[in-house]
Amino acid sequence: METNKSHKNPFKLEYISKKETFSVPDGYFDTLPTIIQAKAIESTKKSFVFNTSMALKFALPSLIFVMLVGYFGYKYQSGSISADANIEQMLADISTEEMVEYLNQSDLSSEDFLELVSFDGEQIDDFSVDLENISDEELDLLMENFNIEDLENI
Amino acid sequence: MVIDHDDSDDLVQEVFVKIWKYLDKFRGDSQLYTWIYRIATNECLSFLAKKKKRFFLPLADVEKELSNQIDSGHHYTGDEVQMKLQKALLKLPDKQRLVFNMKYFDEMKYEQIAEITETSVGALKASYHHAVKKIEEILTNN
Repeated sequence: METNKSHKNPFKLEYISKKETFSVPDGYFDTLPTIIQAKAIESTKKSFVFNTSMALKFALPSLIFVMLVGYFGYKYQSGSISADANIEQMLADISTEEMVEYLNQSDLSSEDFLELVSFDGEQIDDFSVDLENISDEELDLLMENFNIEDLENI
Repeated sequence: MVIDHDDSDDLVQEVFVKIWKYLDKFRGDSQLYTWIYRIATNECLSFLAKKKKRFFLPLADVEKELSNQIDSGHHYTGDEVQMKLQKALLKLPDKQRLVFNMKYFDEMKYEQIAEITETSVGALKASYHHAVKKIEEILTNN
């Protein structure tokens, strides 16, 4: 066993005895092989489970993609429904005079409107004219837009 | 390298399990001893790196914790000077400490260490020489 030579510098590495300073508990190496064997078997089982989950790992991105497409598709559709509501509001904001002016300048006829619109009983009554209380101006307007020949077919 | 016996025990088991698991992948382009030693050193360095991250504190605190474990005397049989040497070693970067241990305590040749650590012989000689100077300075000042 080397002795420390401290006559010069006691902390020179060459003068410090090279000794294994860490120890193990008694019987450590006797049980170590058994422990390692058990761990090795356990790690084999774990790697099988890990491979099964790998399949899920690949399916997960696809699932997320489908969900994202569905989400954005729903959002787009919701957006278009709210866009329709906005259009109706815009039409409601247009004054009657502006509408009449537009219709006078267009080529649309009454028959064209009737094809597009369906009325129930109450709505039709709203369009009926009270002939007993009609004014002269309103009567003139009616006569201008009403074909007198149609009266013969009534 | 890791000082604490329980940590060493975990690492030893982990190393042997890895050897058993990947033995069929051993290409034979190095000696089996070299391959096994390389697994052990890599596991050791990974463990120490994880320990430092887990602390979320400066590196000095990890060094302090390891130093305290030496002081505790559990499974430690060295005298006071050797205890000071072990504590001084903790002040070195992990890889430099690893090289020092392999050269000084295990008395391995530089060529063997180079094969295990995949570092050039020249770099290892410089690292070891620097480590020795640093340790002697720490021991003298303390």
